[in-house]
Amino acid sequence: MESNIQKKVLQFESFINDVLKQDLAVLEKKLDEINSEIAEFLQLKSVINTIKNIGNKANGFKTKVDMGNNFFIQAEVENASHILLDIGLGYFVEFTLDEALVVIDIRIKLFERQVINLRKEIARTNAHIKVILIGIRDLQGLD
Amino acid sequence: EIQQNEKHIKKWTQYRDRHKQIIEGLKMLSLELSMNCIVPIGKRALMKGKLKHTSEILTCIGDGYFIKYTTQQAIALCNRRIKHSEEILKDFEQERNLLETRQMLPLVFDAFEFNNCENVVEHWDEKRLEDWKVLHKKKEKEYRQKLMKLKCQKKQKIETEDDLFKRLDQLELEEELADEFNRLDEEHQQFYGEHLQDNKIQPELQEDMDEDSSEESNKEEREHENKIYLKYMQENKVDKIETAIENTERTPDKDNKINGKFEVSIIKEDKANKLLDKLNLCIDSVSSHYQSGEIERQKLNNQSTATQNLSNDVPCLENDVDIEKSKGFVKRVSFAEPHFVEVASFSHEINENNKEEQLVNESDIDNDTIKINFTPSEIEPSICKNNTETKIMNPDDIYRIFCKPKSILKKSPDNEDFNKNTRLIDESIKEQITKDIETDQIAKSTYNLVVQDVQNRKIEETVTEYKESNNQNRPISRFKLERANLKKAFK
Repeated sequence: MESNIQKKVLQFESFINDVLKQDLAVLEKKLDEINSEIAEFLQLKSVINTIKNIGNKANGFKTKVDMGNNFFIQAEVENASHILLDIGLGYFVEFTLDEALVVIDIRIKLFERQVINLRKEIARTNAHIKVILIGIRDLQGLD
Repeated sequence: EIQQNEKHIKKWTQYRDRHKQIIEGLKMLSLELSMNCIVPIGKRALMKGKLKHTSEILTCIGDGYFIKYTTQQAIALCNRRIKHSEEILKDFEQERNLLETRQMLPLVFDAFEFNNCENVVEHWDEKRLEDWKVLHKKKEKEYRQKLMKLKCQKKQKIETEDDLFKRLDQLELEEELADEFNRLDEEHQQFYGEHLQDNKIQPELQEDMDEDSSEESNKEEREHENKIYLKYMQENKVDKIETAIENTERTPDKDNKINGKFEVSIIKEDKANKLLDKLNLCIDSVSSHYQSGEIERQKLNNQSTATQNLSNDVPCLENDVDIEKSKGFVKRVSFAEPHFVEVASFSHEINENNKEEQLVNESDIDNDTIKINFTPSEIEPSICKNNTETKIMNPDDIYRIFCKPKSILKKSPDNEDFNKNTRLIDESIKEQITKDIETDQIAKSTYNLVVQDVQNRKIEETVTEYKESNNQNRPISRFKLERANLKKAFK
């Protein structure tokens, strides 16, 4: 009996370490990615808003473009009314600023849902780990 | 390590490639005044735009500092950076090679193929350790006992009187050898001049020996010293003696000295015994000494050959010192005879010595050495004590007149003149008479050395002393020497 229990305890522990905790790590990574994307979109949103606020009057602005390795070249955007948005897989779609804002909002909402899902999953795996730990304790506590 | 290395290499290659790309881009840009482009806004968005001021490039030089360059300057910067990165890449490449070879080597040479890497394991119990300790103690005890035995043996050796004397003789011999070696080189360079020095040194040594022999207590001390000396000598002994034997052919003097030493030691023995009758015994002991050690024996051989030379040379060279000098190497042998005669004649002619020197030429059965025995005569010494005259009748008077006790104190300039005159007179007179007188003096002084038993070589020494004595007056000793030096200085 004892050896059996020992075996089971070992199995549970290995399961926690090898499966559940790995899952948890993956989920966390995903969550981080999504969070960063959301942050980017939020930033873009604010940028578009500022362009909208200023751009209507000046109709154009100057920036510095990074060519890579921090080599900057001065660039001038003459028409600030349109913006290209990444819709995935390397495709860009041209939107007006207002449209872009709508699209960005939708994207952000989507990401937020994903985040909620991920949170749930993370919670679940955490719960699994805890349950198994309690089970192990029970197995050992009975004897 | 290799992984890290690869990471670095990747990073730097990327860095280099990016710069290359930038160079290309810059070259393109420099061709055109302005360029349509898409300006990235964040990661996810782009904007249509135009590149303007293509000749102006803002470059980051790190730490948030930027510099405005022209395109050409920027390209130069890029090239520099590429060069730098390539150097770094080279280093990393070398590192990678090293690491790889390090990994490969053990595999190639089968370093771990056999059981070379087994641990060395020794099992020790408490009990075994104890056993070992006991054994160790036992062994140590045995060792100690052996040491003690050895020590005891050594001590025993010295305990008997004969051994003691033997040892003393040996010690003296070694001492002499050591002294000799210091002088050997010079001797070859300037043979005649050297002889003077030799003889200078020798009388001193002999003086020492005389003192020792006169006082038994001193003897003990001496013995002790010699013991210490022996320890030192034993280390160098073998080499020195070997070389000495090699050199004996060239420096016949050495043998003389050694013999002289032996004789002195014999004198010691004699004094201790206070019996002249035992002289022969002593001579026997000398021979026994010779036979006792191999070294001595070898010397004996040398000596015997020397004496043979002597017998050959003597008839033709008698009384002719100059020729002997010119002879050089054979000098020792030839020297001895005539001077021996001289001394003998002095002792006979001038009757101031309180002992008569008896001449005995003994040819040893063993080694054919000619030995001269000086024995005290029955004639009472005639020393006129209350002679206040300035007339010089015999050597004693000279000593009395010219060798007045002198103060050690420095002379004041006042005294100087007065002293000078008198001294000058002294000197002149002395120089006139010195020859006769001082020979006498020396004969007298050396007499102590030669007291009873002298071989012909011994006499040679005395004679050489005599030659020396014009410069160095032994009985007058230190004070007079000092004075002479002073005079020289004044002159």
